Order: sequence, then C-alpha cells, then structure tokens
Amino acid sequence: MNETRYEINAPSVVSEVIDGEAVIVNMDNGNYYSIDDSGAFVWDAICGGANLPEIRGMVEKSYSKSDVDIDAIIRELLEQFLKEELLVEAGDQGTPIGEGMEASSFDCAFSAPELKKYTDMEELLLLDPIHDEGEEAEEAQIAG
Amino acid sequence: MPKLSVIVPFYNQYDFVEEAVKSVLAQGYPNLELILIDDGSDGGTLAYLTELSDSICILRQENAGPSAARNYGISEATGDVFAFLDSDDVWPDKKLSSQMAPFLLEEGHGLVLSQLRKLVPSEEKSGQFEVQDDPFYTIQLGCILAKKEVFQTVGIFDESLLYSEDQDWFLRARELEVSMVRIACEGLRYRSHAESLTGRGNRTRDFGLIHVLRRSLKRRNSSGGGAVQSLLSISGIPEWGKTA
Repeated sequence: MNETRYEINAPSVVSEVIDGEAVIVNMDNGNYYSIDDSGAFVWDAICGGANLPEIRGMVEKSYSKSDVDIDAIIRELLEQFLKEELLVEAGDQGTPIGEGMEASSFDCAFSAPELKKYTDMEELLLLDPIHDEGEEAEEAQIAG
Repeated sequence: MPKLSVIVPFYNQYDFVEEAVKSVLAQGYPNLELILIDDGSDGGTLAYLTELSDSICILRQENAGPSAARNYGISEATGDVFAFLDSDDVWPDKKLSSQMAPFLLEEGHGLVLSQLRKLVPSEEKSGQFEVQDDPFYTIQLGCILAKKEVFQTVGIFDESLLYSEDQDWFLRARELEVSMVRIACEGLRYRSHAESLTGRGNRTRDFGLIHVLRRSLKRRNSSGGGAVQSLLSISGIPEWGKTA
C-alpha cells in the first residue's frame, strides 16, 4: 500500500473538520467540498500526517469490524482528493501522525464516503483576496 | 422613480469618506437618501458632510462592526431600493443610470449586480490611487442594488459574523432564489489599501468563510429535496441586455 504522506495543498486549500464533517475550500478555483463521517476521518488523518497503512490501522482501531475493503475505500478517496488538487505530497516524508488521532472511537462500521463538490462560489472566492488589508488591520478594528 | 437608500458604514476612514459621499451625489439621482452610519469612530465628527446635500443623514452607534452598521442603516432606510458603499470606496460616474435600468425598465428583478474595479495605490504618486485592470463580476455589497423586499425575504446581515457576512447574505439570497440580473457596467471602485499577494493564510478569516459555507450546506440539506446541489454561480445569473 502507498506509504507516501500527503499534506493539505496550502495556502490554496483550507479546511476544517466540525462535528464529523470536513468542509474543504479550494481558493484557487472556488470549488468547495463537504465530506462526512468516514471521509472526514480519513481527511483529518491524511492532513494529520498519516500515510495509508497508518490510516488503515487507525480505521481498524476506531471503527466496528466489517467486511468492507478499507484499503480500497481509502485509496479511492485519496485519488479524489488528489484529482481535486486538495492534497500534495508532503515535503517531509517523515512527518509523524497527528497526536491523539488514534484515540477516536466510533460505534459504527467504516463505509465508503461521498466527497460532495460545489462549484457555485467560484467568482466569489476568487475575489476574496481583495477583502484583505492585512491581519494587522483586521485585528485593529472590526469595522470596515 | 424608486427611492434609493444608500447605506454607508463608517469607521475612522476620514481620508476617503468625503470622496465616497461625493461619488454618490455625483450620480445626480433625483430620489436618494444617503445614510452614513458612524460605527463608533474615535475621530472627529462627520457633520460637515451634511452641508453637501440635504439628502445626507448621519447616524451613530457604538462600535459594533460593519454588519450591525448596515443593519442599522436598513432599519432607518425609507427607500424602495437599497445600496451599500464602504466609506473608502467610490462609485464610478453613471453607475446608477446604468445599474438602476433593470429596475426601471422591467418588472420582477429583486437584485442587480454590477462589476467591480480595483483602486490600487499609485506607484508614481504617493497617497494616490489609480484604477486597475478591467472591471469584473464578484460578490461585493457595493456592487449590489437590491429592492427592500429582498431584505424582507432574505433578512439582514448576520452580526455574529466577523468575516464573510456579505457572502453569507448572498448565499441566503441565492438559496431563496431571489430574482437576480447582472449588468456589465462598472458599479464599484474598490480601494485596495495594501498589496496583499494572495490574502491567504489568515486562519480566522478562512474559518469564517468555511463556517458560512457549512451553514449554507446545512440549510440546503435541511430544506430537503434530495442531494444538495450547487447554487447558481455568477456566470449563471442572467445578464441584462442579453436576456431582456
């Protein structure tokens, strides 16, 4: 299995995992994505520095046992993330797994997630930089 | 001729506010009120601006951010159509004569979106700004004219958001299928104060945007009707003159 480590395609891509849902935004093309449950777990693990065998191990520890092909699901998901240019190969292949990631425990089986893609914000997000006046200015006042 | 309420939130941008106000008055629109909301600025008074026109009204609130200031303006506005202008931006000549046309000539439009053009610091003249590149479409409140009814449908700006409150409002408008048209005219000159290469990496702001997008997805998901679909993109909004 692929032991390459990946990292988020920063600064073009930003994401947050909130209540088991990952929302991922590609500022370069304006596309944004959401992925739930198993997918958010994998996304979080990849961004935390885990390679695929490590993610499989984390899944086996965190989810109920089932007959699904965990490797295939993770591989397919990774391919989608790469195709959408949300991830790049990590510069430091020795990046450790994110702390605490193995502590997750879900009372359900790992399942194939769906990466949902939305394209309606292209023009809006492409122009977002014009809002910027530097962090210093943003912190100095809340009014504009 | 519908009455236009122009709402200008103001916070310490003393260098530019007079130019902003004059750019509105220079439109020559006959039925207009200009509501300046002083969002708790700690400098001098803006009262001198009222000498420019009887149509100018200045209100003041404790500093609460641009959304609260705009909402205050909305609550006080008496117009049929609302416009917004940040106090450091300007309207180009003939903005209103172009952008009001869809409202004047055709029924049914709730919102008209025009184009934005950047004003960037001049490399040759210190302290001066010059227009950059060609105008383009984007979602910026200064590019929007919206009927009062649209705000009754969509609601006001979410004051809990420090970032992306304009994107949040526009997403809500699109989710509610507000009738929109875009017009290929320059409707705003947006002053870019600092040369930010990408504007990326501001985690607080990025999180604000993600939060707004997530809220939109939740709303769309809870409204039922199967899988959540992408909303209309700007290029999907009918263009005035090509569809009329």
